[in-house]
Amino acid sequence: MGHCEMGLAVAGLKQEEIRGREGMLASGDWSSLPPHHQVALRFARKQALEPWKVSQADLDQLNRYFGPEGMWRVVWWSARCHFMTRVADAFQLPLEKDNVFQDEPASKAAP
Amino acid sequence: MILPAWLLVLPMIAQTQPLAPAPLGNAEAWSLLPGATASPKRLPSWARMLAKSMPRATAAMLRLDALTRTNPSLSPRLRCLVRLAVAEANHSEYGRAIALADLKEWTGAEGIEPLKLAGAEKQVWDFCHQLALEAQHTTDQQVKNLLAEFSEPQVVAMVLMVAHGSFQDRLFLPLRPQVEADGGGVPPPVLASLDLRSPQPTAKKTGDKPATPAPAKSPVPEGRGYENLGPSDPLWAGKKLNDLMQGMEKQKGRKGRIRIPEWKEVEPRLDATSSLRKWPRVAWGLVAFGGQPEMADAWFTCVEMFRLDGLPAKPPAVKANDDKGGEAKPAATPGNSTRKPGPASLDRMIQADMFWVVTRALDCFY
Repeated sequence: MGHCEMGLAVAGLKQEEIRGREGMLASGDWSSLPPHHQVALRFARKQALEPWKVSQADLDQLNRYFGPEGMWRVVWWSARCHFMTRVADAFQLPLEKDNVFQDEPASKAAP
Repeated sequence: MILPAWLLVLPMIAQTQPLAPAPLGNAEAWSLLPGATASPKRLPSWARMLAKSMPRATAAMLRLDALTRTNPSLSPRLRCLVRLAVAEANHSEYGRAIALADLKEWTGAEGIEPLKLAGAEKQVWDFCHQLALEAQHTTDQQVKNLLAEFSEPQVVAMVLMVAHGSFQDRLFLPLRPQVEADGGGVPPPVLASLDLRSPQPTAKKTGDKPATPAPAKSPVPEGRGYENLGPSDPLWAGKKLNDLMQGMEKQKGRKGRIRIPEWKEVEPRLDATSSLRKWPRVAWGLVAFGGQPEMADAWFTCVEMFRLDGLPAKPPAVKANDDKGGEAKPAATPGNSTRKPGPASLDRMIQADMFWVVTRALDCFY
């Protein structure tokens, strides 16, 4: 979650915008987001908790909004998040105290 | 009792995902992969399904799959045990088939009985199964026990294998690739020299500042008061934003379960183009690349190839009287002035929000 914040900052969001967005997502009131955006988030949550329960209806929804090719990009990206989280959770890595994604490349920054 | 033939076929029909791309023939799928040579290898069904829509990512996933299934840090039996534990946790038929095919190939054994495991193997099974199913509930002691039995690179290998299986099974479950019934079952790992290079950025003048990315925003207007599809169950509502902020603060003071190597220790093992060079202070990267540089790099190549697959193709010439519409604008229907909505795209804000939702769902505060 900390790295999500850092990524949003690198993408150009200001601190208050990031907090506002997180607050909206955490509240469960996603009604400010267009339906396709909400459908993708709902899919991501379900696939995170019980991937074996992803249903035909869930995929039909993705297909409806993202089309027959785009829906698999949503599935892929959602699945991708689990590679990252498993490593972080397995080792309970300490969250870096500042935004490590705003570093200069190693050739300049590291000794 | 002899069952009619149609009844035997029925379960196979029911398992096919109607929305999934039909698997291409092996030669055709192979020819779509970047840098593929003239002599095709036998591709798994999932790769034949995805080769057309995401050829670069498919090639990169084949490489990561092969590196995971042949990683020399762990014994073949232990590799299969890890993959099977993940597949069992995820109820993944194809994941299970990979583990069992490799087990048979490498050891001659037909299966693994989890209840009969003991000692280090039981520790590995329990940890990997739990990491796949409920990662947030694994314990410091479990990792400490593993590090008492195995080296740091071995434990990192196990965790990357669970991470890969967790990713792969989440593709397999909705895609429902058919487990190959002929030709010897699930194909062996495809280690081939495919072209997984990123296009090099155009050289800039010395002294140019790096371009500042445009602020991310959704291409479709937000804030209109759409029907709410967000969660309202206690599992989600039980944690407010303040709780999550506290979780992240706590994570900053957390002592990791494994040593985080320093950059100077990791750097000599990296390729010149390794993605870790962009972010030399990220603990995730230092641990993953420090223990298993090839697997970690292969993973980031998957993500980069996925990005490249998603770049829009060069648009056709635009007619002077065409609408200048955004993504949500309707697409033209030939011979009919009535327009239908076009498909939405996976834009940057959706990707960022999806990642946030997954970390929230799993209480992953890193």
